[in-house]
Amino acid sequence: METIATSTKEQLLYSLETSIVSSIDHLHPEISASAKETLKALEFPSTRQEEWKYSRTTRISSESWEVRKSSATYDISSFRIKDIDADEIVFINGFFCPDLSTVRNNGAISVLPFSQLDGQLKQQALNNIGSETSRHNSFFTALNTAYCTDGIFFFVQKNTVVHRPIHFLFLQEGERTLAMPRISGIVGSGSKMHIVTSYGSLDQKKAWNNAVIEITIEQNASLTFDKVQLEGDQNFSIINEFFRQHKDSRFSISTLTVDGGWVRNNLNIFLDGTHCESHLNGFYLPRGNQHIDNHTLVDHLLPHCESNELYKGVIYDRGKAVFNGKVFVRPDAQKTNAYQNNANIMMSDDATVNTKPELEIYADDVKCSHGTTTGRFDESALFYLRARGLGEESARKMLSSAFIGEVLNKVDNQFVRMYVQDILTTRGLWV
Amino acid sequence: MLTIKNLYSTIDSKQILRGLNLEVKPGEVHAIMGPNGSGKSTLASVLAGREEYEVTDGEIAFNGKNLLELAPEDRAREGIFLAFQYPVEIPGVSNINFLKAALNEIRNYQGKEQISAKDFLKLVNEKSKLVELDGQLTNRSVNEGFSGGEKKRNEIFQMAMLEPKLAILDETDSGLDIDALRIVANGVNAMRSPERSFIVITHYQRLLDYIVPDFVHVLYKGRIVKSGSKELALDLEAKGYDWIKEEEVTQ
Repeated sequence: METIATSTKEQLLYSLETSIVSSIDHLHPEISASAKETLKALEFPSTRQEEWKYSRTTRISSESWEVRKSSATYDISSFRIKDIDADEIVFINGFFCPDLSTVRNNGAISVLPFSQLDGQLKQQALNNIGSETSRHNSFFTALNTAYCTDGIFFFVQKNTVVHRPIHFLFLQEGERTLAMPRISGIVGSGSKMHIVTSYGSLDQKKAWNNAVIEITIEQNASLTFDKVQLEGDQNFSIINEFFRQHKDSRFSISTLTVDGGWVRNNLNIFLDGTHCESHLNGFYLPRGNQHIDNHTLVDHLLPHCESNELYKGVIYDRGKAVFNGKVFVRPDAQKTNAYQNNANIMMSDDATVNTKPELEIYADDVKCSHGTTTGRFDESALFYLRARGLGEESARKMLSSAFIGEVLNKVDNQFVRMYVQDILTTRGLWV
Repeated sequence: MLTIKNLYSTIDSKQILRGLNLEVKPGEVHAIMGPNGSGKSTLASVLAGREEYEVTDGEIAFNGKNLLELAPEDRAREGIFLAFQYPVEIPGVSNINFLKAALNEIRNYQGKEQISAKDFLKLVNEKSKLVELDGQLTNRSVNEGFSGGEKKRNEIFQMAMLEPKLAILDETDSGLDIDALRIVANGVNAMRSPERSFIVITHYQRLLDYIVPDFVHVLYKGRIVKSGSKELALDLEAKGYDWIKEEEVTQ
């Protein structure tokens, strides 16, 4: 077994080594070189590791993948969010597509591909990338660092309200393509912005996306982040996200997983300043044979911070969901308020959910709670609706809409909410 | 309209109804009274189609249809309405959206057109006034955070919106103060018509001062043991149920 796993890893690394130079090399070649060293020492994740116990990666490691720029033209309009008036940054197969993107740089905000960074911005990007990756040597993050297909760095000057949201679209096409896009950004102190990321397949072919998002939220800044996952049944998606919050900052993220054959979200939030506030909400709706795994980490490093986490899932057919919510309260993080809740509804006898809250508390003056529920619909509510004339199907739909509606309603931006609602409606998941 | 013959029903293998007979004609109001555990709420649940209640014998015909073969939603679409004793709170489901969907599914079943948004709102305005239900409440999640009285008024509001042929009020008066009781009763009385029938299940004669029944039945140990006019309710109020129980024993 050991030899097979090693050779799979080596085959993958060899094929990447011969086909791509990490776009991070433009910033400093040392970063990808050190990531490659890390990869040598790490095993390809497998279910033998606690972190990957419920998500089989053999389906990824048994394929041969190729990094390939897209030459086809696709209509991407269904991935644009109607009326939102956002700046759109489009990646296809992990490569930035300037022709499909609208980037309006001005004095207050800079948005640039890694390859065009220069001077002070380059130094800032370098610091931002170096700081997160050196702390997190997980296999897939290191893989992205070593072989990043393309990256965007953004920087918001201090005391700036960015009125127009930035929408990053990560799309893929072609058989067995591997995309490794990266977003690195800094929201300057006292600034406010809204980011949307969405993920989708253009042709429903087998593809693997291994993305890294790393954002620093500086003092008293505010970031709202919506993530819409719409990938195909043949897609493997590993999203590695790192958010570091400084003093008095506010951060809110909604992870809306509508579709995805095999999804692993690694969301990491570091409350690295006092009086920070963090909200993490998410829903997942695995259907057919879909597998949706959310691993979240909220790391309370300093005192007087608050985090609120709510993840809800409706699991249909033979769908599988995994929720693992880590909350660390470090010795210095007195007066922490940390709340976590995970609720699941099983829609079929073949549905599976593995849910595991992990609270590690090293401070003594904190308020922390967690709860998890997994069950079927409340039969009395179902009967009440049916007794009014609603068919069983509509009644169930109404109850599941209400169930995930609690998460969707936390999305501030009405256009994002409408966009997701419309998609859920066409999928027959929303009334 | 409704004919119940020799109805036997169990829940969790416990026999509750034991040979119940009842005939309700269009426009009639039947009150069903009885001591705790006599089977009043079971009757309401069986009529509405709650699946935990198993019908082991007997038949129920509603306007010529075998009610026991119909799913709960089809009973509602045929014109049966149950005002719940304990209305369920359903967080996240808007009272109004749910009623609109329900009304349209009923109309669809009856071969009628979908109601327009404008007509629907007009209907909501009109019917919520009937039970003095605040417009804010109609827009909230179903029964969530409603007081006991508001929940019962919401039941009657829904009844008024759906305009059933037969309404079953399951202890709608319990937990209501006298003012709320009057409002609820006024709402019911406004809906009385020669075509619409009511089964009013209650513990207390008090409600029948406001909703005057054509018939009063006493349910005891799963059967109707006594039927009479509205005066029977007054007798029960004065004498309690013991004399009925004794009559049963001597028989």
